[in-house]
Amino acid sequence: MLIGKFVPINSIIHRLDARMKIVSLIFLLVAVISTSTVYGYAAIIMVLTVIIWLSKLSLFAVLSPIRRLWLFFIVIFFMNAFFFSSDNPLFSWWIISFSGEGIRQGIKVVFNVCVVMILGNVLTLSTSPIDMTNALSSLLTPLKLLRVPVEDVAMIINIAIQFVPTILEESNMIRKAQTARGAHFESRKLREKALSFLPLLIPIFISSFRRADELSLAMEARGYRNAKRRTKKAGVPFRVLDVTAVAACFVICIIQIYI
Amino acid sequence: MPIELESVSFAYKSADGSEIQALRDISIKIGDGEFVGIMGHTGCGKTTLIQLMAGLLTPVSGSVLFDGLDINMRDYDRAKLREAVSLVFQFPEYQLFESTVERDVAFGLKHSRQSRDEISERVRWSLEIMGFDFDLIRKKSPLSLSGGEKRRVAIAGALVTKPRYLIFDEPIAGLDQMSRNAFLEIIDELNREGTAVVMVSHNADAISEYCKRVIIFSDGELVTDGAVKEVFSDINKLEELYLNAGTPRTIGHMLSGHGMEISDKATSYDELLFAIKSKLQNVERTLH
Amino acid sequence: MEKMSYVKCSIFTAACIALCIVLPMAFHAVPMAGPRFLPMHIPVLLCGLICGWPFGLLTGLAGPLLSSLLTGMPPQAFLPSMMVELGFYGLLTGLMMQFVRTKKVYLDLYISLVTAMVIGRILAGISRALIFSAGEYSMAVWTTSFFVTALPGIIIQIILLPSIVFALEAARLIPRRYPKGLNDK
Repeated sequence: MLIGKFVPINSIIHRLDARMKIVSLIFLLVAVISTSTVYGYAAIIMVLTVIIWLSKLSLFAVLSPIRRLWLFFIVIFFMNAFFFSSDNPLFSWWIISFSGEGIRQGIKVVFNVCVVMILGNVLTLSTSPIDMTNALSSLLTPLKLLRVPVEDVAMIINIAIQFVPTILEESNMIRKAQTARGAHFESRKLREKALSFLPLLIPIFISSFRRADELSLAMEARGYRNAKRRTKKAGVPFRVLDVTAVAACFVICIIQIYI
Repeated sequence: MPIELESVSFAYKSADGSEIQALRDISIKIGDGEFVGIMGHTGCGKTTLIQLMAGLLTPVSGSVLFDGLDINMRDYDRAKLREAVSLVFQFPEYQLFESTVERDVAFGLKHSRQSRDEISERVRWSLEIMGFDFDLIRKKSPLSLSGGEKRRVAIAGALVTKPRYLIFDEPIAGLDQMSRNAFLEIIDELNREGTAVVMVSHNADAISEYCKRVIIFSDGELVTDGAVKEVFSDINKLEELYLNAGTPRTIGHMLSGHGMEISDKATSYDELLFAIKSKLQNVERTLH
Repeated sequence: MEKMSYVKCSIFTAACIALCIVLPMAFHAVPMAGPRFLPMHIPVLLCGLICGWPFGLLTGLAGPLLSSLLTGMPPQAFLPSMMVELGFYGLLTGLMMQFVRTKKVYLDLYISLVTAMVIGRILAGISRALIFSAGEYSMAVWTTSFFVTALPGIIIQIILLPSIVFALEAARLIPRRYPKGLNDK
């Protein structure tokens, strides 16, 4: 449905190196989580505005995940507002207590989640899936010290992404075929409900595993063992822009932590 | 009690939100007991059409009627449609999932109010039609069968409701010559017993040999709908659509091109052979 | 059990990761599938069961991550805690299958699944309370909601997963855990 969420336009944010974008995102997340003052929040909103403006993305696209999840926000707001244990609640009953701190806590959580979502959304809207996987696998390189086969992991993830469109199409076909055979998915009883998914799940798993099986046989027949020793494209050097962006995010992060 | 499409149009939503027109203003009526072939190139809308007939897709405009009732109305009883119209997808073997063949074939009857014995009898009947020994196959896992056997089990699963309409999407794709002929003989037999059959196929030979009526699609539009004989005799029109008129008709056409006039009505092997034989007899007669 | 090759396990893992992305999308179209059905858990648990703990762990981490990047679900805000939860499931099912050998396939599967899902939920709950939980509402509330809402999910997975494993065995896509004869069927 949302595959290819990436919007290919030309902006500073789009041109940033994907690795640096991810690192910057992490710094900003830490900054958001450690914010507690009103000024801090104002600063975060300003930074967010600048980033969205630089990315040239439409506000509609950037805010769309928040629009879709408004109900969820109400739920987490009340979860926090009601279950926050406070010394001087406005009223309390059983495990529910309602207090000023609780409401503030609720607002804080909703705000944090919103900001995180917007930042993450800007990242996916401005980075192509291929750049994203490459960036992730290169950021995971230090894991080699823990004897994690990073190349294999990158290979598996790349194949997984290639599998998605075919498996999705086959799943839709299977859903239609079973509907044509009279499959129902409306049962209320838990056990029957679970069983009613089998006509979908088993064929979907079998057809994807058959595909995977064929691919692995082909790879083994060509003498593939693992991803090591394959030549890899040399890493692209970082540019001034990339370094500036990360440095800026790092500074924001430090400031937010110490205020 | 036919399936009727009244000026039906359908469009898919593509990834970027724009619409792709798949079918434009199609009106077709398929009556009880017919044997209809549907031809056309990949992407011409054949598969969309049969999914509309089976109520798996809802038309953008126009209506699909079954027994005179609009199947896309809110209060329409879909269960009845599912029993009366069986749609067999391409590669139906991929839809098997149960632990035994018997249970898998019976899946279509799960929601019907039949007794266990009746269901068992139906399952036996449909498996035997598809050429299985019921007692040998019933307890096997459908997933461990060979490819050809799996397809036959899947088709048995479509027959089990004793549908009045059987719709097949490319049923003979990937079958060897023997299984192909066996399959076509089985559905021909079912058709003679009164089941209407709609078969989407690229295989002009199979259509010209078994179907009585053929419908041709091109780019989402209906271009031809008529008796197999008439449609296949107009080979020039088929060539314009880059479609094959079946081997016998093509040979006849080639012979005509080489000076041996063969009637354009000769669309089957028997008719072709008869035409050639009478030509040769004429030649012999003139020689003597 | 005859072991699957490293390459085969890798590609099956890729398929499971792809299913983590596809299943939530595919089941979106089915009415009443509901949030409790937890479609993304299935490929993770399955990968742990049949490919072992390293692959299960990878599916549990990469599945939600890629799904979030490609489809926006789960939203990035819940991604870390979901990765931890699913990572535990993949890891624990793999480890359990390695150590539990009762000579009965379904028993191995049930024991591994239940243990992994219960311990995984406890560990994920603890880590959520320690690291991710932005709100500071009490641990007790968390745990109860965790189990009460999770129970139907656990039951559904216990019904579904062994059936999928048996189907894959029947289709000869994965080797039998115990060669025929010892098998109850």
